[in-house]
Amino acid sequence: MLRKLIKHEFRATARLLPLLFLIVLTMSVAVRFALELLNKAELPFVLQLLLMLFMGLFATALVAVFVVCIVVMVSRFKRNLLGDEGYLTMTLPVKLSSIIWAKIIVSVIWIVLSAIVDLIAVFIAYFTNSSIVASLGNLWDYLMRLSGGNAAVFIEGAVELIVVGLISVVAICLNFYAALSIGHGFARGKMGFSVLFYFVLSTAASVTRIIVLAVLGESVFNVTGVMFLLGGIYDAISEWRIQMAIYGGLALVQSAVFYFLTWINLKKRLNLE
Amino acid sequence: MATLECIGLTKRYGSTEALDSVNLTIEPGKITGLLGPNGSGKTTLIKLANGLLTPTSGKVLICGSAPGVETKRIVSYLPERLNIPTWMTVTQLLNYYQDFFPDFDLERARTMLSNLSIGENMRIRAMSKGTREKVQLIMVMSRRAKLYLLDEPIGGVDPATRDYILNTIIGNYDPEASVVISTHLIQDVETVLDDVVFINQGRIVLRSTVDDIREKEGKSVDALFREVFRC
Amino acid sequence: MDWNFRQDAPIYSQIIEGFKLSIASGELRPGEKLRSVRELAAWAGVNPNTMQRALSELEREGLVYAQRTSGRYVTEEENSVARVRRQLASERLSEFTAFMNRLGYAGEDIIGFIKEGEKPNGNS
Repeated sequence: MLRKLIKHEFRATARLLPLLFLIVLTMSVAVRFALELLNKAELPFVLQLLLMLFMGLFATALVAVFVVCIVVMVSRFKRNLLGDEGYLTMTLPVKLSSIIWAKIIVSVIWIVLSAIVDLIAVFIAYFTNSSIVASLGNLWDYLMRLSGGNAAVFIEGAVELIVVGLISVVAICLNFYAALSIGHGFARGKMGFSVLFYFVLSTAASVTRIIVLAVLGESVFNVTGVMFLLGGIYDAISEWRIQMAIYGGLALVQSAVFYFLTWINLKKRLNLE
Repeated sequence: MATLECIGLTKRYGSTEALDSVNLTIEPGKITGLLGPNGSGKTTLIKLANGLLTPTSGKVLICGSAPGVETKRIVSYLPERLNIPTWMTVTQLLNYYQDFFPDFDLERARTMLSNLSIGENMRIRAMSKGTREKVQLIMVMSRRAKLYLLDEPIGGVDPATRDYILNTIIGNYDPEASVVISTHLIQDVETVLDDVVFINQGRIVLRSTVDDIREKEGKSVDALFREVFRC
Repeated sequence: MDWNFRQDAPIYSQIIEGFKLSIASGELRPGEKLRSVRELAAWAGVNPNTMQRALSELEREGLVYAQRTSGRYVTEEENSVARVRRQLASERLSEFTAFMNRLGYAGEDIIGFIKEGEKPNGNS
């Protein structure tokens, strides 16, 4: 059933974003030509200004992709579960957890796709063939220096970065879902309460993060120090990875709490008009 | 086994009591009218049976089980409001129902849609309110469900649409299935009902068959309803 | 048949009356096949159970008969048709005489009206 839910979730959310992706990629090609034009020829001031403005617009579009992602995610959740459509969605013979997971998975995929599209767009706009190779090479050298020439450490670190990144994106989605589910349990001012609870939940999450990091900050140093003393490799990447693991763990706990809040509110406090 | 059973079913919203210890049994093969004025608890009862609300106390059972994935598979629900996603085309809607409801009869739905000359490429959003309501009813009645819960199916429709709706209901439900129609427009549904349940202020005040009321009281259900609920 | 159900009697009994009238008047011919319960129910705008009940009653009275696989038919027995015809006529007649008596017309007057084709009122 999860597969079918995901299929229809894509069908419902795929109406705006692909178009936006196409616009961003088209703009990136245009920006590239604009840059080449600016470098090669002496252009009139007005035209220069226009090209600069266009590049500003491109930067805005890069951000807009994420904003639209979030807007689509929020409005889909609200309409499909908490509005009139909720009467159908909530009476489908599927588990509530499958419904929530389908939404998380599809939202995460859109956000990751947005990141990839933005990355590609930036590459198209700003990197020449030689500069791509050169900068990738530089990056590699830099990472190798950091990891003390140990490629495995770097690859593990990269995998960890991706995993922690994905968990963080899940936490971001669930922050919205939990806030909407709590807010829409109220008889009046559903959207007002949703916004309020979004800030309550995200503030609670950051406060927890600050406290945990403050407490663990000391011991992180100790852990790496001990590793160094025991003859392990003391390097920037190891320390970074431990910090990242803490962030990942926090995001995981945060996601679990937000997921539970979403589930319990949809289950027990559902308040369709 | 009873298709729908309520045992001491109670639902409170804050301090207001929407349903108060309701005991009710609906047998297979019957069309039951859940009749009561607005705000009497009809919709609350139907929402509880669909698992859209949780009881404050008591139980509601569908074919012996509490509302859940299993019961949702055998209950076909027409809510008061339009619930079909308006951004979908008819084809997408058919596909949606077919994907999620194993008892959905695609051919039956297609026949009914084509009888109304509703094109499958049409978007729900582009339809008139009346057409949307018919499409929604066709979806609900194209399922071969065990229990149909129809909340105010004929509220605010013209007489021709009303006839279409009632004919679609009696022409499509499975003889082994139960149908519950909630409404306050009794005269319009009286001829299609087997049983009636009068509900007022969250309590069941009368339970009878239509024939019994007409035979014993010598009056229509509508006339009796007006007497029972006279202000 | 035109289905305008009265308020004061069960619907199934009104359906029975309707069928009896159709059979007695020959609108439904002897041996004619009836449509399925579901079709008849939809046509009359009633619950299939109600239609089923009416048809069972008609069956019991020998006005229709069921064949196991092919459905229901109007009786071919002339006696049954004649009987229901007389029954309906006598019911109407007693209603009519009761009504005329109430208006103060005696038996002779009534016969007179009928013979002369005179209509005390414009309606039929």
